[in-house]
Amino acid sequence: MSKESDLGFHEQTVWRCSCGGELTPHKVAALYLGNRFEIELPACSRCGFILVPESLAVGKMLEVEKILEDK
Amino acid sequence: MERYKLDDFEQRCIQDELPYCQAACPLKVDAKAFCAAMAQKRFDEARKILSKTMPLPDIIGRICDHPCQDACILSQKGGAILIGKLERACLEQTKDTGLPLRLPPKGLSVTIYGGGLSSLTCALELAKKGYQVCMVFNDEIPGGRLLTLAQEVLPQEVLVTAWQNLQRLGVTRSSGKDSIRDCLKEGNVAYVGIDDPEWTHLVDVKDIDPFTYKTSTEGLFAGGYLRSNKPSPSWESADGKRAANSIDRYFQGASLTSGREKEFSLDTKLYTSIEGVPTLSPKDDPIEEAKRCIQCECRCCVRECVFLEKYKGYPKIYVRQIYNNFAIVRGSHSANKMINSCSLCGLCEVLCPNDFSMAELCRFAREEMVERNIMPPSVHEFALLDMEHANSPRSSGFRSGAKTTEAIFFPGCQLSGAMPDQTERVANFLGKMFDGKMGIMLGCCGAPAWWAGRQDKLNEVIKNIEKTVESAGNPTLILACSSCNEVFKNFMPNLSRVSLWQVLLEKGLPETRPATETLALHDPCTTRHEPEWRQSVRKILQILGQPYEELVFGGEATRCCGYGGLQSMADSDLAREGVSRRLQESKNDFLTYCAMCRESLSGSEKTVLHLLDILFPPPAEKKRAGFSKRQQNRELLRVKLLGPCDLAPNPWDDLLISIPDAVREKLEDRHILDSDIRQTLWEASSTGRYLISPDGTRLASSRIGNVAFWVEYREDYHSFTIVNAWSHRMIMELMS
Repeated sequence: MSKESDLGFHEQTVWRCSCGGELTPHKVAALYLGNRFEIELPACSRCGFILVPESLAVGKMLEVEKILEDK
Repeated sequence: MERYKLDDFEQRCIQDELPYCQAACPLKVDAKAFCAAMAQKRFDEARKILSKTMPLPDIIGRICDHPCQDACILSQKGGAILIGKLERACLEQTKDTGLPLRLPPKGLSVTIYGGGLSSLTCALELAKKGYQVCMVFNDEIPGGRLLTLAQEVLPQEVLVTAWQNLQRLGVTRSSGKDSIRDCLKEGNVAYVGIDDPEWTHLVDVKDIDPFTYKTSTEGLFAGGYLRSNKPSPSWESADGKRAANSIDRYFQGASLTSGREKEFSLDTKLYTSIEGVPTLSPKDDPIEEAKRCIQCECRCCVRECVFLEKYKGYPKIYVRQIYNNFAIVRGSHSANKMINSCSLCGLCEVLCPNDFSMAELCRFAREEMVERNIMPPSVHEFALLDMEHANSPRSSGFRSGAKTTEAIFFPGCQLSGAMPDQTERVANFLGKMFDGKMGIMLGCCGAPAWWAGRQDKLNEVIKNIEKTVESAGNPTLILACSSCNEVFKNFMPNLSRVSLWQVLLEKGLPETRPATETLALHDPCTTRHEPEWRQSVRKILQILGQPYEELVFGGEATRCCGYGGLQSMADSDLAREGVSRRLQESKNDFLTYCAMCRESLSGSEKTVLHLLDILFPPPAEKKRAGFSKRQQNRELLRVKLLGPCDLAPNPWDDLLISIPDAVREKLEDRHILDSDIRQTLWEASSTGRYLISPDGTRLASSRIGNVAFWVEYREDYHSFTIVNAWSHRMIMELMS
């Protein structure tokens, strides 16, 4: 199951990756309990390290996790 | 959820039962709602409430003999509400709202003998149902006995209007030349209202079935007989109304009795407490009198429980919601949070006049959710992992007595974690008292698994405990925690157990000094049904000379601290609200004898002591230890009391981290442990994968179990200062 969602995070980030790569917006699949969302998150263009910012993790993402858990 | 189980739960909650006044009314007039409307001067609304169940309100409302008043519980508090007077006041303030609706004609006719109130009511009810009604009476207009009432009691024009209205509904009048026998011969149905003195002789009262109003003559119904040798307008009207219902059923060939229990019954199971209700005499002014009505309801449990109050209903409604939660196939299980938020403390059961137990219901529901695999995975995971930690070799273990093992001290995981120094001092003290014949068992009793509905995990823990105790020759367990006691009582009833408090009373108390100030005594909710635990503690306090205050909600009616039933895991705000209300119940500092109660109640400006703080001073820190500290304490205590375990330390165990207080609070709220942080930092250091901000702060991430942790930190000389941390459960995968 793949869905459109507004889970993404589009703000500019100050973080750089320890490998030297820049963090740029990437398409990312967010998976939980058999559900799949396509979202955009900052990720390292060189090594693929994906950043999940705090505001997203404790906000919208937590909300969606709880909704899915109650389904 | 099985249907029978649902019914059993539902029936116990009596909030939906009729108020005393309404139950006593043969017409089942909702006098409570009526009083509420009158108190707010909503007279039209009040009239509507009367009209709903009271046929011909303009007549009955003026002459009602109000059996409701005899049932009103305010008779014990200054006098019953004068409902009869209020009815009259309402009718005088309002106008008839017009003709009731009439169903399409059925083509069936009924003859009604007599013009009394029961006949008038029967005629009205049958006409509304679409029957062709023909009345037989002697006077110019129907009314029977009512025609003899004084004009100021019942103005004649009210009866004239009533008759006009009946005629407009198609009711006709017959000269009554045919005898009843002739009338019934043609397969007709007839009703005789013997409240009209002219027709009393036609039917023998003994021949009337008091529920269905059937007589031994086929097709003949009768009612309107005297009650307690007196005419009763409410009963006359009810007779006519109920007889009309029976006649309707008779025509349809349906049972005259089935499903009519509520219509016939005058009883109610409702319980309303009048404790604290002021004693006030009836008022002359109808509005003021209506305001005196206390709007009877039960809600004994809801009033005293933050959890029951939060969901804005009462147990009966919650039973239904929980049932629906299981019935749902697609969509959200919207009652999940409610089911998991009950502290399982059992106060509702003590307060309920019918012993309704929300704990039993929610525990049952949780077990079923686990069984059906619909329990939200995140809600109890943290607590279950904490239990696993408490039972891991790093925190748990058993040591037999130096000589033999006559008893085993089982402090429980929360006491070991929150108050390790006191636990150690108690262990040493008991060791001496038992002269080297006391063993020690560290670990968790399995209560979190029980509360989470995880029978599988609970059974695992129980098996291990039983095996250990058996290997030691089944000595008595000395329990310091009443939650452990509850688990032992329910799941290991064969193991002999005693409370630490009783042992201390028997073996002698350590030398100590009481706290000088009076302390409010908070009984843990798991001592609710353990009077011996509670009494032992009070005896100790008396021996020590410790002044203490009994809380109104103490003893059997004590409250939960918010940790019980893992309430704080499902709804931390609710648990906090409960704590805050509990602490407001006394101006004094608090004293308890459960480590989790001490932890949960601490954190405000109030000092919350554990009895062991007094018995084995110096007291533990005033502020709560928290999850991480408790885990570390358990591990240290294990080493102190049982020696180091065989497991090799984790490579990250020695990482030096420093966590400022504000961050610490956030980590506790977010259920992020120091061990999670250390592991994340260690992984970042060993893989060299992390993010860096321009000011040098780093951000590392690691997935541990089902959770991804993020740790923001600064590294200086091999020590890490934690700036922030968060977590999520979703798994992220880079696409393309």
